[in-house]
Amino acid sequence: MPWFGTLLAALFLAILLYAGARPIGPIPPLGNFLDPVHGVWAVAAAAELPSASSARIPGLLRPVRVRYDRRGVPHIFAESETDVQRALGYVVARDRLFQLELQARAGAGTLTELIGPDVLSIDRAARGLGLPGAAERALAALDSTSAERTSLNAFADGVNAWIDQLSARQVPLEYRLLDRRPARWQPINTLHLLNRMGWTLALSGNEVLRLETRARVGRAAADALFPIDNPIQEPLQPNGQTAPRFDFIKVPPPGPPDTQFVEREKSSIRQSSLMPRAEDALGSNNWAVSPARSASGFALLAGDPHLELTLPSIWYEAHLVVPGKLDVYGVTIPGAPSIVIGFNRALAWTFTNTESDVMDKYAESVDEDARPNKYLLDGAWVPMTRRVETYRGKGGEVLAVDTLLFNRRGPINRSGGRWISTRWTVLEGASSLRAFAAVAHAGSVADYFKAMETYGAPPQNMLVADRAGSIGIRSTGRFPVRPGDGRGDEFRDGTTSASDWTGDWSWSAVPQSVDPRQGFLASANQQPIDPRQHPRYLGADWYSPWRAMRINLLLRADSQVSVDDMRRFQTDPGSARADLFVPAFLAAAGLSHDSSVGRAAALLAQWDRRYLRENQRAVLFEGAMQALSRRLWDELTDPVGNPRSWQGPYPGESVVAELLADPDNAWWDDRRTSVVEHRDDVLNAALQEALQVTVAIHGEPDAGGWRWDRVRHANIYHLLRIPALSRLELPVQGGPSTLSPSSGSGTEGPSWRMVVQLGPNVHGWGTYPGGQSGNPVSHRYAEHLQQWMAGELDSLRFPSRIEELTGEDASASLLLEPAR
Amino acid sequence: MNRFPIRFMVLLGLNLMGTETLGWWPVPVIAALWAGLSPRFQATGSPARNALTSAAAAAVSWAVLLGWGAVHGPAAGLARQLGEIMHVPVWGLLAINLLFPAALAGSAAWLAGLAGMGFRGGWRRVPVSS
Repeated sequence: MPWFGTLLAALFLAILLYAGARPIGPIPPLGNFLDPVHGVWAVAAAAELPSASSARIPGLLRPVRVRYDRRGVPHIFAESETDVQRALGYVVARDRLFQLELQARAGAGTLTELIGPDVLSIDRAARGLGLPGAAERALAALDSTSAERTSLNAFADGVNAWIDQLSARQVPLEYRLLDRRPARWQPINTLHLLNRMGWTLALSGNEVLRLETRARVGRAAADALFPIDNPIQEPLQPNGQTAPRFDFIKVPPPGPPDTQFVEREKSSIRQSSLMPRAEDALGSNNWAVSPARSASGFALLAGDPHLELTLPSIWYEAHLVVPGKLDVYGVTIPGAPSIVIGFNRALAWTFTNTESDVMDKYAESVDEDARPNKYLLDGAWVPMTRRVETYRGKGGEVLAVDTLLFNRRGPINRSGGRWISTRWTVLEGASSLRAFAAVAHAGSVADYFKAMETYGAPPQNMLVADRAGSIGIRSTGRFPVRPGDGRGDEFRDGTTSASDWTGDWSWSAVPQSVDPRQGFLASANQQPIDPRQHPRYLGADWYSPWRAMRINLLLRADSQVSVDDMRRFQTDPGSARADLFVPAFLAAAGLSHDSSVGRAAALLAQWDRRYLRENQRAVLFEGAMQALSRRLWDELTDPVGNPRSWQGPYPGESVVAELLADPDNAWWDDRRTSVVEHRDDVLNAALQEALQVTVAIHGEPDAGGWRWDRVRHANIYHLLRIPALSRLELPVQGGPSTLSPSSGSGTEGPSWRMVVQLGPNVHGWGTYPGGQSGNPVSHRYAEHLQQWMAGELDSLRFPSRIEELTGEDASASLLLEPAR
Repeated sequence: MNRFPIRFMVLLGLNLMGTETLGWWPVPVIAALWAGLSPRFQATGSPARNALTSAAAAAVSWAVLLGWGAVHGPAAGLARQLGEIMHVPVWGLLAINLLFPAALAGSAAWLAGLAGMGFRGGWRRVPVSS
């Protein structure tokens, strides 16, 4: 019996010790996890910054003083720029360590080593695109004494100083949940991070979309549905017009499928994957007004880049100072050694994504279809290069091994029945590091544009305003020049070098404007230049310019714009889209004798076309727009020559607007019915359907269920998409195509809002949906969220001297000293 | 004179210090040493009593440390978040957090006590349970 008791006790203890020391399935080791001092509970103790602290950083040349203001923003005062970068690495790691590693791994394709095999497909996508190799080449191309390399090393010094001093109590929550320890930061990680941004902002799939559409409805219709030039022109480079221009054409009717083409491309079409339409989700706005149109007489600038909303936020606010040399405030992406969007004592700048086409695909001929070694180029077989990619799990175990092929253009993948190579500016080492570092010193709009000439990808519409009252905008980045018709939205013949890019657009050719006569500039991801001014191909299937139209409308109507107007515009609930489509629905309903159409129209007519939280009619309009798309594009959803149903995006709503002007166009006919429909039939049917669906889902119109804030929400997920650490179903003002868009899933939106007045003393206001800390129990984790939801901005502290931050203005201080 | 409170406080202090300085694994070590070296056990104690004492001391020490943490940070908010992540109520999470050291200490003390008796040939003299 005692032996039995001993064995039982030993077994029980062994199980407990095992569970204490080793993970069991998704459960982390219980001992380390539950330990009240060093375990997960320590996350609470480390939630807030100590009021005063100090640390040593290897490589630091002179002491650096950091003072955090009441918003948790570090103001870093150093004596050299490399010391600033070291300190920035340290403070970012202190607040956002897990995010730093996660984002870099996303670009490097090594997420599985942190999270496990569930994310293998994401890693495969990153490596398949060639992102890690591109970062390695970019790093190797940097001279070891170059400013870029020095900044990468300095930032890494700072991050690693924090990691090396990290006690068990300071390990972020996510590492504890994943049972991992932070990995040391490598200088290349910054390049992985920047490449990842390129993936987010400059990946285009126009070739596949056009291929699939052409297979279904013929070439002419496909070109009209996904046009090179948007039918509504409101470009960022002013074209001398005082209103948007509607370049509507007669959209060719759906043609028969291009059977020859379908036969030839069948396997490619079947296996190709279409990209979802990002319209109104990953968009952004920026605008500036000249002193002549501002109430204060100073230039004003506003910007709100729209990205995936996460907790912690993609942005981290900081103020970097080297007295007499550098004084810049703004937001950085954790992992970047400089300010990305912000202002200095002379100017302010911000970006929107250009949405241009900087990725081309080439159909290659290879020597052996099953296992190619060579590809055909100009009549000769050229060896491919191979890169073996090994994917490892959390414990270092091998999860998968891929052999990737590359040719002179980029990665080669088998897509359907053929081999396709991809050329992409993001992979070609156009580092933005030098540009970001240089603009912090710029003193004028001209300086700014000069500094940004080293910027490559992803292309951005860079807006700048300076204290001298100048405003300017330029679509900045590498824009490839293509041979022949110059288009990049179709597969090109890979067997000849005559298909290759012949250079980049010159800086004088890119869309741009400085101090236009109209006195303001605005961009919102619209086609940047009027094709009548410059017909060269820059991209295709542009975003519908609803936001651009709205900004321009607001700015044209206000010749005395104040800072508060700029702030208000950022969450303006008006919609150019609703202004265009609501009258069309109402006009069509006026011709109908159907009582349910009449009832729907009466309800819609009650809407002021503003997406306010309390509004109870916007939901009906959105339902009608969805129903309209489904009914209008039945020719795409009805498989013709292709067994798959349509998985791609519908044509843009500018094209729908184009069809509104052509009531008898064949596209209005719903081929699933026996009668021939025209525009008004479809508009009425869509409105009628919207009423039925809306009542079924949300109840009767005035019972409260139609309130916009009960229908549409912002959903801000934690980086690991853990609901408990997320902020979900947040009521926000705005809808599709408003300046502060609320997309379908609510997971994208304005990630940083900033307004800057360029007076004698530059003053900035800003906010973002989150907070400085990555610790979910810190009060700084989501402290700006309510303010962001309300459309309010904080006044940003921009002290010249650290002594200006005292008392209530300062929340914590940190002294960084050189390591002994 | 009943020395149990003093012994308990000593054991509690050892657990506090051990966890504070080294983490969770001293908990079973302290319990085993306590049970193995306890003079009372060698005289009249039982493995079960030592196991219970060790378990209680471990649980109370972790409760004290958790309470201390709660005073110095938003532990309640963290408990709520962890409960949601693990799909257990907050009280369940706290119960697990106290049961774990208790079970570790208790089983280690029990095992050490039984093993100690076995080495000394004492199994015949000492009741297995109390």
